[in-house]
Amino acid sequence: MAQAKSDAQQRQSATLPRQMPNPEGRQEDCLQINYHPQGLINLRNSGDVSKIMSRHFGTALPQEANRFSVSGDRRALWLGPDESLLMCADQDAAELHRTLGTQLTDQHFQLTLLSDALAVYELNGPYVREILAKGCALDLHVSVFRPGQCAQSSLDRASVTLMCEARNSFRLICRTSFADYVETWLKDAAIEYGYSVRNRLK
Amino acid sequence: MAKNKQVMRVKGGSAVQQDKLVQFTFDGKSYMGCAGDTLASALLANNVHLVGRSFKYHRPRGIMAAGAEEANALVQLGTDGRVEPNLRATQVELYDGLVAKSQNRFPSLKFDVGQVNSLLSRFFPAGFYYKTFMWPASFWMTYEKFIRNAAGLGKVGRDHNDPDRYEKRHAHFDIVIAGGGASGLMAAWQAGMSGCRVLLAEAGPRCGGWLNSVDDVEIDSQPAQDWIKKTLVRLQAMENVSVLTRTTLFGYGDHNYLTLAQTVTDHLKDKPAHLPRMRMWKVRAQQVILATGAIERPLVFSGNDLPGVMLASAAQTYLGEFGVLPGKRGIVMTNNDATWHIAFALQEAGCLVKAIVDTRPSASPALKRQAESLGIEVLSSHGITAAHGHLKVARVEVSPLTADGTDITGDALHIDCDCILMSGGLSPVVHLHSQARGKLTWDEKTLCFRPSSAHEAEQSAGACNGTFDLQRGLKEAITAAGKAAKAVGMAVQTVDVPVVDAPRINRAPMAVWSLPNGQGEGEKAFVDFQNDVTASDIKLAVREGYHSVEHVKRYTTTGMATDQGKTSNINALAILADQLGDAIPEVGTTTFRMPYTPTSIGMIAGRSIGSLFDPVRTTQMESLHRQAGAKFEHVGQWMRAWYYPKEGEDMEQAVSREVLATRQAAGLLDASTLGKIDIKGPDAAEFLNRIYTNGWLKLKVGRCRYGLMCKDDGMVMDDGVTTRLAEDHFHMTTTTGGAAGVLDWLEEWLQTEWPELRVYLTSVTEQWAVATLSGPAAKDILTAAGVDIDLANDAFPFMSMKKGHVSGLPARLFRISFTGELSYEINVPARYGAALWSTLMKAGAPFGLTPYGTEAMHVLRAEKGFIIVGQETDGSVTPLDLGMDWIVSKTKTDFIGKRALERVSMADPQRKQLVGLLTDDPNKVIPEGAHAVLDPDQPTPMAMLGHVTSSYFSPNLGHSIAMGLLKGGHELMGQTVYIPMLDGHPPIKARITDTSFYDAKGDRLNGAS
Repeated sequence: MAQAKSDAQQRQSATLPRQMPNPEGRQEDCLQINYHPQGLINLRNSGDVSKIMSRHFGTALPQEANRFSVSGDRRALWLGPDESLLMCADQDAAELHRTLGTQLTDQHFQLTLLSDALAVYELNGPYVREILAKGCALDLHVSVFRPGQCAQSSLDRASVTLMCEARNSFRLICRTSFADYVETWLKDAAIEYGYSVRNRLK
Repeated sequence: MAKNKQVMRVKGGSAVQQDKLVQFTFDGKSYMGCAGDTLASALLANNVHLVGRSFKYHRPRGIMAAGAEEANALVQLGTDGRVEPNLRATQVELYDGLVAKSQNRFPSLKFDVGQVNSLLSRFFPAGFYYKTFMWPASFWMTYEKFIRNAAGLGKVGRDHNDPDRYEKRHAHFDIVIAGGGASGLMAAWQAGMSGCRVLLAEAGPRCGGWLNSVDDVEIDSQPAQDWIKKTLVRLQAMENVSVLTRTTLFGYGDHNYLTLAQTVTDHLKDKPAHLPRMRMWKVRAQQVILATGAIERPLVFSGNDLPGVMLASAAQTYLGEFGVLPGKRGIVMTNNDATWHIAFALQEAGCLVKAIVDTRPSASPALKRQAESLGIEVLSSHGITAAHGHLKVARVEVSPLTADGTDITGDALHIDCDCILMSGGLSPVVHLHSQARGKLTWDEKTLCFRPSSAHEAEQSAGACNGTFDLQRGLKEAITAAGKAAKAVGMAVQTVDVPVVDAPRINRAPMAVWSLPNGQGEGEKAFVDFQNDVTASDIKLAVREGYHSVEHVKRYTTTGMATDQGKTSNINALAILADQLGDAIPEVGTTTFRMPYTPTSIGMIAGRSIGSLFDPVRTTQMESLHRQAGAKFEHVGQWMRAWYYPKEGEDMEQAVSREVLATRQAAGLLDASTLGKIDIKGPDAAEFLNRIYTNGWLKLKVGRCRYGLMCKDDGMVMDDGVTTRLAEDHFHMTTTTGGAAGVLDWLEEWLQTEWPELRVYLTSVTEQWAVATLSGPAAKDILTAAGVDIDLANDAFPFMSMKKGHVSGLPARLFRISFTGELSYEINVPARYGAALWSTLMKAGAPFGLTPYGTEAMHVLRAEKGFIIVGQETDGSVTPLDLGMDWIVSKTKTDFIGKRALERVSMADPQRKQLVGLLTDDPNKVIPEGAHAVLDPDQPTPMAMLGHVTSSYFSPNLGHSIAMGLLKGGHELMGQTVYIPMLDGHPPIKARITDTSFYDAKGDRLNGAS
């Protein structure tokens, strides 16, 4: 967050919506909740993987903490100094898992398919940050949590990973067993603004 | 509709719209007020002063203040589930149809039987409860009921759920400013101009503070109220500044963690269902600026709690903001200059000020001249020595005082009046500074405690800093905000200090707190109005030996009411100091605690109620279980199928059927909830070798092994089967409830103790859906479902794993068994979980495949004597206690718990050990948790052997079976024990046996029937 802090200009932006709460602006699409099947692979690695990742995944791992790199529909999320989450099209995951496994032979590593273990939600709408802020203690301000950033945190009582795709667009990753809770929670938190659900996990 | 009888309403009032009438009800009577009123101002407009009864003596009480410091006018709002007690009428915004009730009175406000307490008051001295109800100690339970009933103020809506929504949210700001008065606005303007992210929180519905009630102040050559409006418009135009009104910063925690209560719909007649009633803000601020203003102190004199006795500043607010007079004939009682200006304003507005009574020998000539020109009598070196009246003040005794104000020097004047406006000087609102562990200093000039040094990144500005002069306060606010902006790394653009044109007021009061008692001996002079603490209570406490301010506070309960002593603290300290012969700073202060004002419990619960109270985790097969009519039970956060009753079956019948079917044909269990951890790395086997008590280095690829893990104290922590997928790759399973804890445990050892081990761990619990197919028909059913794995016993032996496909679904099959039957734990990627379950149920139907739940699983494993961690163990049980010596390696150099297990006491034969129990009467099932004794006829208390951990009726054996942890149990094998019953039935007789009740040789594992 150090970089965001030094950028004074970025602070000159909306702290809160003008109306808080928002009795008039209640519309269906103030928050769109969309479960989106994703291929997911957890990567633990001990050595340099930049070449392999660039060649076989399409993008290197992010260099900075709590960032994700993007290439088309693929994302590589920094989760820890030796841990990343690779996101790709669902149908690509098994093949990618195999390929990377054969390439990463020179080092101690672990590649774990988690496409079925984690649920990914796309959350879009002008109030997405307000709604997430109801359950997440991180600073979600537009000047601080910016596109390309991700963080592991809590959404009330569920562990989640949040990714900022754009100003009003986030991805939320949780364990599938918590998906019911997270969906219920999001809908409840969005009541004062309005929401729509495009797609559900179960 | 009530007639509009607002007899005390005069023109003006910056907050109210006098042409917009609002109807409300107080104690069943309908009144009219104006839009913009508070409940208090509307009641006063209707000349209603009596609004409550006091806590202890049930004395009639009125409205004494106009803000958060109100100690008397506590009311109950709403009906049914919306009942909210103990709200300050001074902070309740009026809306059409508001229903309020007075509190602590029976049967009515004007005639209250509890007032007898007041007549008996000599029996209710300081420390009354301590003195009376502590003896005999055993009687407390009896006393408590009566005390609880008599005490307390309002009533909660006990029979209704709260229908309102309450929200919570987090937020981060560079600078949070508490208080929207002139200083707060100025600080926000400066901080906003510097580019900081700013939150300004104002407790009331509008900003401006006391400037809203005066018209003789100009800022930058415009009326102060215009300046406030302009400043607000400028702030609202700044993207980086948020102004929240109706928002109280009520709690100040470590590292500038602030909690704020925002009321969202309380002031609305129609409360939109989608909006929360309140929102709790949990804010982290880099810097905090407190601009919380000051509170006027009452003076302590006999009868100072009568309705009609009010703080002078409150009268100013009611007149200036609401256009309401406190009475028609007022007495002003003061020790300072500021109050004179209020007296002049009241006189001009139509309240006849019969006298300004000032304890000081003289006031400034200018003030005297103005009083004279307005025709107000001035009584210098005088004080009110008693106030009299029934339900409202009607008459005062004013006596000449000595120069120091402590004694009466002559006869009292008697003056009729209907209100008393008192002022003992100002107290800065240092509550939040104090909550933030800031230090206070006693200001000898203005006679108040003001902030001296801060503990957190926090500053005070304006009146709450003891700076009562507006011009200096604004300058202070700019300086504080500039400093705060600099501290958060912003370039400071200093704004100009606005020029204030206002009457110069000397704020230094005379050091008088408590006025001497006149002839009305016996009337009470109140210090703490809300907790009914009088000056004589404090004096008595000192006589009884309480000298520390902390002790006096608790003994007399002064400052301990919901108002946290906002109006009482300084007066109590001053009286205490006087009694002790000390100076006030030597006596010190008590700590102000959060909340600054009481907040609703509903807001603190927020949305963590009902289905959001705790997550409920479900498996991919959950909907199929529901379709099959399963009953569920909570296992940790998981919801697991418990049993599947058929029409007309009770639980016992269903479980019995499931257990029999599994041993006679086959059963299917959803085991998806088991914790699963993928373990990989060159040192993975070594890692497991250290984690588990048994050996892991020689486990072959494709083979499974059961393991017990101990905490470092040698006690069993978890168990499960771990499989070697590859030379450097393992798949561990844990108990359902223990999964998260085990992963944490493993990571902790890896990261803190064994960083040299090259091992990675990843939870895969949800990646795999697991169906356990168990029973003699298991192989046939799998074959029928279609499987591409050779199921022959020698090709796929017990305790091994094969990858393949079941009915076309990619699967890992583990030949492990928790039932003792031929058993396959079939793991498929979770998306195929439901398909797997359906396929197996269909393929198994001709074979009698029966789904079974967790209860049948418990019975089946108990028949085999398999333990369940958490049922047979409780954190005090070692593997040796469980009779599982075989799983504790004697040859490994180390494993977690090894050192503890080698302690001599661990081998004590008298430790509690796991044994089986077979009842004499095969149909008698021992209650779980029951205790066993050797001799049931021994005198009580009996020597307990231990307790029963698991107990079921085994349908397969036709016999009750149980396990228990009994002292020296392994040596008692074959002996008879008795389990005494609580319900008066004769003790159950049972024989101690081995824990393996069924198929002890394990023949059935390979499908033998």
